[in-house]
Amino acid sequence: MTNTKIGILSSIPLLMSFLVAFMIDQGWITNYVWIAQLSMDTVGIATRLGLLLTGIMLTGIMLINWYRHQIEATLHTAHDESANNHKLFVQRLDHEIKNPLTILNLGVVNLLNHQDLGDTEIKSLERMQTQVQRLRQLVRDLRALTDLEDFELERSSVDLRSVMEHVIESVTLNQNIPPNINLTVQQVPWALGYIVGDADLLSIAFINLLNNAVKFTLDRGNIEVKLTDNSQFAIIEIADTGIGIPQPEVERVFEELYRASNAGRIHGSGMGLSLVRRIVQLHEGNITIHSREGYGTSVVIQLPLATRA
Amino acid sequence: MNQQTIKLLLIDDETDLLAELKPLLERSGYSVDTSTNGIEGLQKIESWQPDLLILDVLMPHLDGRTLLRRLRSDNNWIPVILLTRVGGTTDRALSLQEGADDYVNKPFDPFELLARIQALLRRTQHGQVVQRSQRLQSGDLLLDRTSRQLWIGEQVVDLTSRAFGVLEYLMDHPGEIITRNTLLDKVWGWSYAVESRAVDMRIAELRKALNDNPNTPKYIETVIGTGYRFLGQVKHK
Repeated sequence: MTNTKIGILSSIPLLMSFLVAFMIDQGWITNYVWIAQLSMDTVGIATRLGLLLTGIMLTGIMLINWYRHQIEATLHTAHDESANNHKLFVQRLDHEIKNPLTILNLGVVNLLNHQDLGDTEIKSLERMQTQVQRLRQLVRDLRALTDLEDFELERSSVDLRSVMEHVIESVTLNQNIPPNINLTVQQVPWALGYIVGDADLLSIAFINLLNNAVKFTLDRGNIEVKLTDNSQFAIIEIADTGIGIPQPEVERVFEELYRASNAGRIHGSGMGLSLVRRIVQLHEGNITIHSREGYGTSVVIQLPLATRA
Repeated sequence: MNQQTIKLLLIDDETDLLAELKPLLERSGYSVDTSTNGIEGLQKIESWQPDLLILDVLMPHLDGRTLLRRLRSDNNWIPVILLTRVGGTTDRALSLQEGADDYVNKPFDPFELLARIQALLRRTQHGQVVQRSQRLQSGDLLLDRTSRQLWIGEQVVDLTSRAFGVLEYLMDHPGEIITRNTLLDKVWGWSYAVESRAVDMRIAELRKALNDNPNTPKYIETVIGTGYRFLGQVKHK
C-alpha cells in the first residue's frame, strides 16, 4: 500500500467526526448522547475519537515506514558487505595462487629440459604444463574481474558496427570455426546510433559471447549476430543453435566459475559471462540470456544510446 | 658485457621459487645468486655487485618496494625487474614510479622473464639512462609524464590516455620490438586478452596525431607479425 493511500485511510476517522459535527449542526442527530449516566457532547466525542484514531494510525504509519527504512538500510549494508567480502576473497585467492603457479610452471620447464626423459615422462610433463596454463588463464580471468570492480572506463563515442566487425574478424581468425557453422550478421539498414563507452572493453564482451557461441555450437549449426536500435538503446544479440543450457541453470551462468552441467569437456573457466555482465553494467546497460537445452542460446545486450546534443 | 659474467641477484622469500628460477637462469648463461629477504639482499648488492636485480615485491621485514626506494635514494641505479603479484594498473604504475625498470606479473612465463632481462641489459649496455625521467624527447616530440601531455614543437597534441601510454612505453624502449601483448599488459593493464586490434587502433590514433606515415615512418614502425618499434632517438630530461 502506498503512503498516499495510507494517509487517506488514516484521515477517515477525522473526516467521520467532521461529518458527525455537520449532521448535528443540521439537526439530523441530537447534540448530546447519554453514556451510562453521563450526558456527553456528541461533537466533542466524535472529534476527539476521530483525532485519537487518526493519531494512532499516523503514528503506526510512521513506525512502519521507519522499520521499512531500517530493513532496507540493513539489507543494503549487508549487500555491500557481501560484495566487499567477495571482492576481498577473489583478491586473496588471486594473490595466494600466483606463487605456487609460478613455481609449478618453472618446475615443469626445468624438468622438460632434462635430457634423459622418456616419451611417457615428456607426455606427462606436457599434460601438467597444459593444466598449469589453464590455471594461469583462470587467474588472469579472476584478476580481470577484480580489476573491473573499480574500473574507470575510457569513454569515447563508440561505433558498435565497427567494433563488431573487428570482433568477428578477430574471432574468425583465432577460433578456427568449423566449416559447418554458419555465421551471419544482420544489421539495421540505417546507421546504428552511437553509444558512449569503452570500445576495448566492449570488444572483450562481444568476443567472449561469440567465442561461447562457437564453442557450444560444436561442429555444426548457425550463429547469428544482430545489431539494431530503438529510441533508447543499441541492441546486440548473439544467438546460436548450440547445446543450450538446462533451464534451471540459465540465470546461474552469470555467476563466477559457474559452468552449465552439460558443458562437459568443452574448455572454459566459467568466468566469461561474469566478465561480460560486469562490462555491460559499467556501461549502464543490461544483459539477458534465453536458452533451451538442445536448441540453443540467445544473449541480448542493451546499451544506452548517446543523447543527441 | 659478456653474458657469462653477467650477475643476477634474485630476492624472493619463496625458497621454492628461487630453487626453480636459479637453474633456469643459469642455463641461460647468467651467474645467479639468491637472497630470501630484503636485508640480506641489500648486503649482497653491496658485496657481490650484481648487474641486475630481480626483486619480489611482497616480502617480510624489508619488502621489495622499500628496498628499491632505499637503493634509488642512495643513488644506486642498478637495473631492477620487480616480480609483482598485485596486478592492478595503479600498482603497476607505482612500481615504475618508484624506480623499477620493468616488472613481471606472477605467474610469469619463464621465457618472458628471460626476454625482459635481455632487453633491460641491452638498454643498460647501450648506456641509456635507467633512471625514470619526467620528460622524454625525440626531435620536436616532447612527452611529459607528469602532466600526461604530448607536445609537437609548441603545440599540445590531444591523445586518449591509452594512446599516450602506448607512446610512452615505446619511447621508453626505443629501438626495441615491442609486441602487441606487451603493450596490452603494460598500457591496458588487463591481464586479459583484449583483441590485439585494440593496440593497432591506438597506433593508428598516434600516427594520425604525429602525422607519421606508416610507409615511411619517422617515429613508429610496424614490425610485421610482431608489434611495433619506436624509431627516433630518445633523450631523457
